[in-house]
Amino acid sequence: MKKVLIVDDEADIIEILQYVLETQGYECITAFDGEEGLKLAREANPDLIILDVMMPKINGYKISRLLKFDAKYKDIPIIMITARSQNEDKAIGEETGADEYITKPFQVDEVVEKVKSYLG
Amino acid sequence: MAQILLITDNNLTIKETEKLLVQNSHELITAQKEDEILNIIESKSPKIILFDCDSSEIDIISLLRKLKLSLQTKDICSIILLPESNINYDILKYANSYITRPFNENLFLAELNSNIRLSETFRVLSKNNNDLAKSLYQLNVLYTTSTQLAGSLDKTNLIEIMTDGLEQSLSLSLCYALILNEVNDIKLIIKSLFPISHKLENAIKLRALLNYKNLFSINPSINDIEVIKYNKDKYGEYDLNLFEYDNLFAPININNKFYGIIEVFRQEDFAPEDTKCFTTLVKQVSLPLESAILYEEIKDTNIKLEKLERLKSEFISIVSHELRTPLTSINSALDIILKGTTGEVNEAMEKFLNLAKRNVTRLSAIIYDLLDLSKIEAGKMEFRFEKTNINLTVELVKNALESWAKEQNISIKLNLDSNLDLVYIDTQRMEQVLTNLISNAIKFTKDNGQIEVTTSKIQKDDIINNSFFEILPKKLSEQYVQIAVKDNGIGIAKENWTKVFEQFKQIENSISRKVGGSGLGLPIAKRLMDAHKGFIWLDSKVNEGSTFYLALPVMSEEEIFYHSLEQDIQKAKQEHINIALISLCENVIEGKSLTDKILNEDVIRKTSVYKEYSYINNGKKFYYVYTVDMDSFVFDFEVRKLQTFIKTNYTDYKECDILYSALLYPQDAQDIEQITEKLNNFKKGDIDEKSTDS
Repeated sequence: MKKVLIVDDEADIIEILQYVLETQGYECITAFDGEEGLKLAREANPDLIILDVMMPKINGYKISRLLKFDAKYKDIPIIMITARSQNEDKAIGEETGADEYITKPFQVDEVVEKVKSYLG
Repeated sequence: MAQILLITDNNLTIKETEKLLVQNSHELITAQKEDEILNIIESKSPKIILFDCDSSEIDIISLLRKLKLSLQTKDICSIILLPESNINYDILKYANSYITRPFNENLFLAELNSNIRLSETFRVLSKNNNDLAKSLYQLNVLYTTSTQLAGSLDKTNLIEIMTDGLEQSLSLSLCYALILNEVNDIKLIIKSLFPISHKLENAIKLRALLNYKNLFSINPSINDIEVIKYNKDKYGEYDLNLFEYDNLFAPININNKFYGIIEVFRQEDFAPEDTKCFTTLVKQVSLPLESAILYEEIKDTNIKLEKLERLKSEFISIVSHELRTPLTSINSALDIILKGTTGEVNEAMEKFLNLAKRNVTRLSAIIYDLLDLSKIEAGKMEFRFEKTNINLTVELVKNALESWAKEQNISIKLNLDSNLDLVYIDTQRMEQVLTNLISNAIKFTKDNGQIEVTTSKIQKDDIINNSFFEILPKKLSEQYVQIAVKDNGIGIAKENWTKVFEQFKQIENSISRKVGGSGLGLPIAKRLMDAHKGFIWLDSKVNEGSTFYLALPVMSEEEIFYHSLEQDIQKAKQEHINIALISLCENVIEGKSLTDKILNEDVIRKTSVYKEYSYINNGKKFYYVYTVDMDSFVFDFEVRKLQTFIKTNYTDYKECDILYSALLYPQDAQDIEQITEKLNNFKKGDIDEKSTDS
């Protein structure tokens, strides 16, 4: 079973994503802040990471950069969830190296499709 | 008649002289010893002193020297009486004149009288001269003071400039000014030659407060006064006896309202000219003080307004960001239930869940619009302009909205002019404007309605003659591309035509609630069109339908250059960064162009944001480039490198030079008009008329 790490400080969002992805047959591990998220990303061998941008301690951009510039983790796909508009995203995205962007408010289907496109 | 002092120990001489003088009604005083002489000079101030050369008691030469050296006595006329046979020329060096003995009566009187007249004339002349010098000095001080006053907008500083001026022009012992800014801001500025005693300071405070109390509109206590003291000289001290000095006083009025008082003291009495100088100086400070107070008020209001504006923008931005997260949760939860993953959904459940979902969508649309609007207002919206055929954008939007229109039985027809010039737009933003117009048309059109989108060319005059616009920008492009979105919906009454573009001023809220949407679509469209240097307007008849028009300028390369510059200046203002501007001009010689070489070989270094533009006019090629956020050191280096490059190529390429190079800081209030003017000044000019700003 493919493992998805969900990092978000919003418990409701985590619950929703976890429910939807588990019904689609993925295993989910979750983290409520950036620090914990980074730790799990490095230790729990996730196959994909869903990452919120605005988080306490370490924000999503920083985590993404730390992972993408590390040879050990750079191949894990990252889907970023942001509250910013698309134009701003594109600019920042090029720097942080995330693979996909989803803006809030997002559609559940959209997330599932994107996860599927990486994990099958 | 004049007083004449005779110095002699010879009684005969006294007698002789007395006889002559009294006959001519002069007064004679005699003295023998030196201290006696000095006393008389001090008490009676004689006009003429006659020295008897034969007098054995005193050393005439040393006395004469003493008199000539002292300021009080140097102008007294001294005449030597000496025997004809024995003239001592040494003595004559120090005297004004001499009379020989024995006296010839007529000669003696003539000599005496001419000397009296001479000394009188001299006295008047030297007094006039002194007065003139004093007036000139005072005028000079008045002039410098008024220049200084004009240069300051700080109230306390203005008062200090005035007191300095008074001090200089009137050589004051002490000068104080009491200024009433506000109830809790009362300043007493004391400037004195010597330090002042504690007693005197308190006495001045009391004097300032009590003597002029009836003038104050407030009732300050002595403890509220903040004292600022200055003194020039350390040694010595003024005490209460200062009040025995001569004084002048004046109130300081601003707009006929009492603002403060000023009083000056001087040991020497004030002359009428001094009083005049004093009042002039005090009057002069009123006007700059008035401006200073106005300036402070304006500054305060401005700061408050700016803060408010920023708070508003921040508030909207934070609120919109914060709202998105809960909206996402609600939306996703609804999706999950609606899909049936959590269990079967019956018809009623589905109906209400869909209702909830529709409103979530509407809410998020409102949030996006609010965010857009706040960004445009704060000048923080970023545009990605590119040259595009607007027909492509129209087709794209039509395709996106077609299925929704079909659901409402509405058709969308396109009439596209295939020969349109390219427009310089941010396609994403223009899609937003068009989507807004077409979806409005769909919303407000009944079943079986028809929407027609037409693109065409229009001219500058069509914009100028359009009665919809009351104010037009100064610069218009020659040609425009027009997009018309026509519907046969409910229409808009004429009195509401301009209102639809104003934010939060929806004509009828019930309609927008019925059809959905934030009511901000058109205000946003208007602002986006402004940013494109375009126009939006409408034409409508109630119950027959509306046509919304867009006009986008067909910009020349020059217009694009200035348009980009304007955009980047706005950004530079926000981010507090500079803009480096360089303009080059060369005489075109067939087949060779140094500017081309400069460009091809990247002689001018560019940062990530830059724009360049060149054109040929009258045998001259002009080239402009600006680049954003360049280090000033690098810039200096680049300009020098460029100069060297031109010089080394000068033999091959004739007459090429930098017309203008400058690092501009838009946050220091440099706006597009100023900068464009700078550039345009050199556009028509020649290579000789170049300039460089530091």
